[in-house]
Amino acid sequence: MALDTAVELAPSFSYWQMVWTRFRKHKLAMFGGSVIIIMILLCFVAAPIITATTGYHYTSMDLPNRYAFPSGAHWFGTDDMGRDVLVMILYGGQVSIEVGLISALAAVLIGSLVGVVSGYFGGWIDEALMRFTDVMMSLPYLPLYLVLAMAFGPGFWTLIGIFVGFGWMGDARLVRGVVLSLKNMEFVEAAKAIGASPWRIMLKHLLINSMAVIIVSTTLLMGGNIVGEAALSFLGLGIQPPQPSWGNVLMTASGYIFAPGNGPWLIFYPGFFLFLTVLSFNFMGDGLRDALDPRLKGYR
Amino acid sequence: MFTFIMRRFLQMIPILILISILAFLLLRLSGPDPAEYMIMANPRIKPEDILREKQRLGLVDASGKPVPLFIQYFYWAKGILQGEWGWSRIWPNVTAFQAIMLFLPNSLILMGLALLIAILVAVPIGIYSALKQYSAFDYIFTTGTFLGMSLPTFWLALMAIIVFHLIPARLFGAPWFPAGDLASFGKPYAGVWWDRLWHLALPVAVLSIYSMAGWTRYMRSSMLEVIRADYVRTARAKGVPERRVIYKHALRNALIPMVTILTLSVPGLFGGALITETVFAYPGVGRMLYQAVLGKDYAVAMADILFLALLTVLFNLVADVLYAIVDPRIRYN
Repeated sequence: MALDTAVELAPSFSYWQMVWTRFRKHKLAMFGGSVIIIMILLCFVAAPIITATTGYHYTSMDLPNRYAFPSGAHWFGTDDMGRDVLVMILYGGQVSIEVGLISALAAVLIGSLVGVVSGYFGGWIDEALMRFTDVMMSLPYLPLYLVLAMAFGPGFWTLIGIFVGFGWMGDARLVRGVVLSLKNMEFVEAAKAIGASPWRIMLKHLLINSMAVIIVSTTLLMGGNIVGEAALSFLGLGIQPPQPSWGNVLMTASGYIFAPGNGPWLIFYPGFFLFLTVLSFNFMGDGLRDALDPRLKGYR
Repeated sequence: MFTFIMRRFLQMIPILILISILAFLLLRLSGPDPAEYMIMANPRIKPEDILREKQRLGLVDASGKPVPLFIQYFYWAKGILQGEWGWSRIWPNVTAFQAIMLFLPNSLILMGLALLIAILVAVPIGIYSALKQYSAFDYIFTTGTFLGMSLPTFWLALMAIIVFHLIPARLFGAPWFPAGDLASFGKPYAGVWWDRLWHLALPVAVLSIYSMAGWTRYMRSSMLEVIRADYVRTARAKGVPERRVIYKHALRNALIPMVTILTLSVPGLFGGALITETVFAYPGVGRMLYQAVLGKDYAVAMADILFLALLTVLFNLVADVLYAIVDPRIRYN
């Protein structure tokens, strides 16, 4: 027997190819991802097209046509000022999605930096940062949001500020945990040995290896912040009319829930879009967790 | 054990001091100047009167110079410790503390019932899902928990009003459940226990769904972890009947983390209750805070924040102590 028979090499995959393969198998996550892409296309691309072709806009009132039943002309009916509900929802989605994405990205950026600094340096820096995180976590969120919105005046940037200021703690703790388990491993020691600076080790080695945790918490935070925006706008302390958002469209609709002309679709549709989007982010976060780090599977 | 509780109790103090500093800064830096209130109430007020009031409140000293912020904090904290929580602006002749006490019982009833129902549903479903992992039951309920956690509370509440109040009222002439409030008004049975329960049904159902979904998942993963443990395999190997293995060996240990999770989620329930109470016009502390915020009643809003923060820290302590009690493996140092 010849020893030089060709060795069958297993096809090699990069980490991200493997992640994609695992993610694709997660049906609910694929559903979530598709819904999010469709939702973004609908809100940011289809909404201007509908306005251009039909002339419906969230400022175009049609008072004789109030509370119209869903029909060919108005798929989701019209609201108390005769505005097309579908158009309100699509333009409202723009703000809701923007708030969710911007605030989650910023919060996770801050949280990851706090986590990596805290975990890497340890000692009094860790102690101080983590006690501060504890304090921030024991603050009652929703009540404090209300007071802050009252204090700074409700609006887009107030919302972002609130969600960033109170959204970074979870990620900071997770990243710190990962960094604590990584910082004594050989590759960090090797990096130190060849003279890498602490910042280089933290940013290039430790943060990159915490990416699984960071991506998952960003996804879940996006969903959470979209609900948060809707909740605050629903209470009248978020995005202010006439600029629509999912929350304030629901607020307006709930104001005439007992009015004789009111139809349930005015409440159902905006909330359903919100629910579907948040559900999709949660599904995607779950699928990403399984795909990025199979060891985390089952630990929810 | 006693020293453990005492030490954890002492650790609460710096956290509470930090929270009170944050609350104070928010109040001072964002709230209106007390002088503005006085001008709003009486536009012809004299500047001397404003100065005297500011001196009384400790904002300026005897010569009229502003007092540094950190000294103001000590005055304020002293007042809080002595029970001077300030007067409400929107509820006449009520202090902030009395306002909380006025609305708290209603909230406790609502939250207590929601908590109870959530536990009674979540624990059995979680256990059964774990025992039948990957079965149809498990898939349906695991997906269901995602739905439950993604449902926005205020939308669920509005939909509940539509489905159980508005639609039956239009179709059959009478609603199945009231759309809100504490009890019926002007009826002979107003305020009777079943009338209260009837009014509580929708808010309790809405409030319990979110916690229910989360706890089902925790119960499931906690149970899954335990039934894979060595001591469960040992019990089976010894020939212990399956029922006994599950209920005596596995379940008792699976419930330990649930104690912590349930305790820690109590303060968070106040947030969910705020929205539920507001939609259902239920007079609890959550709706009180919302009205205080809309009415710019800073004293009541701040008192409520401090109260909720105290509650959060306290329940963290309770969770730690309970955990140490139910799990003898935990050492107290």
